[in-house]
Amino acid sequence: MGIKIKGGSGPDSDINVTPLIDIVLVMLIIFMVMTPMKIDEMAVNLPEKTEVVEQDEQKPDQLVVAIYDDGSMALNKRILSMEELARQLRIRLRTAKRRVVFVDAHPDLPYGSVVAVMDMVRNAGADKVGLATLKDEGPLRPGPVDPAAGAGSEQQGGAGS
Amino acid sequence: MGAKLGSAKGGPMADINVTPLVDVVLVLLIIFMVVTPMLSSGIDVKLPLARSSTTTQDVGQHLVIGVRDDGSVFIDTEPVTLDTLIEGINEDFKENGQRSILIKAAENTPYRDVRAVTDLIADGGMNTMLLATEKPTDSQD
Repeated sequence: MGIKIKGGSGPDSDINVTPLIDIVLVMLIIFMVMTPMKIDEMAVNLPEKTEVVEQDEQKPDQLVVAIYDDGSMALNKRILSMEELARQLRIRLRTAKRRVVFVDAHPDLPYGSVVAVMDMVRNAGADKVGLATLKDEGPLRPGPVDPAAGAGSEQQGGAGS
Repeated sequence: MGAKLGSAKGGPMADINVTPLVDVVLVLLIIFMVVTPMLSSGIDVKLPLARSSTTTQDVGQHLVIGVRDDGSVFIDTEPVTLDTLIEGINEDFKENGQRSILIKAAENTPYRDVRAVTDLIADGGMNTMLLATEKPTDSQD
């Protein structure tokens, strides 16, 4: 290493590699420290399979977000857009005692879009996200797919069955 | 850097030769840079994006259950079937003690396949589990 410009007895003109070594060593140490990889994780709860909740027993303050196979969503059987759903959840969760939201998704949906909804629910202030399956074939639609028709049925229980 | 042994100006050059050191350190650096993305536990899948997830250091505190987009299931990197999943989890708990379960499922897996796995785990008595996600790169927060 180093380029001799002049003859043997001239001034020493080796490239100074000390800063290079300093930087490379620091980078090496950084990579060694970072090696235990970071992971991003999201906690979800699963109700026990044996826990069967009749529709009549569902508490009115229970929040169930349903995602249908076409990607449309509903909060407690009311079909809402993603933004409206987030807004509604934020309002409801501000006053709720148990900040638990159940997410019930159609089995044909890609996992990524289900996680996107769970993410939205958590961002809206839910402490716990539960995965609910009320029907094997996915959440039941609240009658005809008409947002205006579902608007008045706020007191209805959870989504599905 | 380098110790001058000869004191006279015209004496022999006695700098320590750092070239091998630089070689070795550079190679180590490249090895770490290449290996680092491969070291995460479990199978390597495209994880779903989520902003609200919490970031922790992966130091083997989780039992990682992987789900590929074709529905195949893995315990860490070992392929298992749905029938042997609970057995495998129990075996791991016997060896390593009870650990939290981290589900590492590919973004475009049908939700059905993920549910099949989580339902089995819930049936086995674990009601809380973690879903591995990825922070979007354009994240502002």
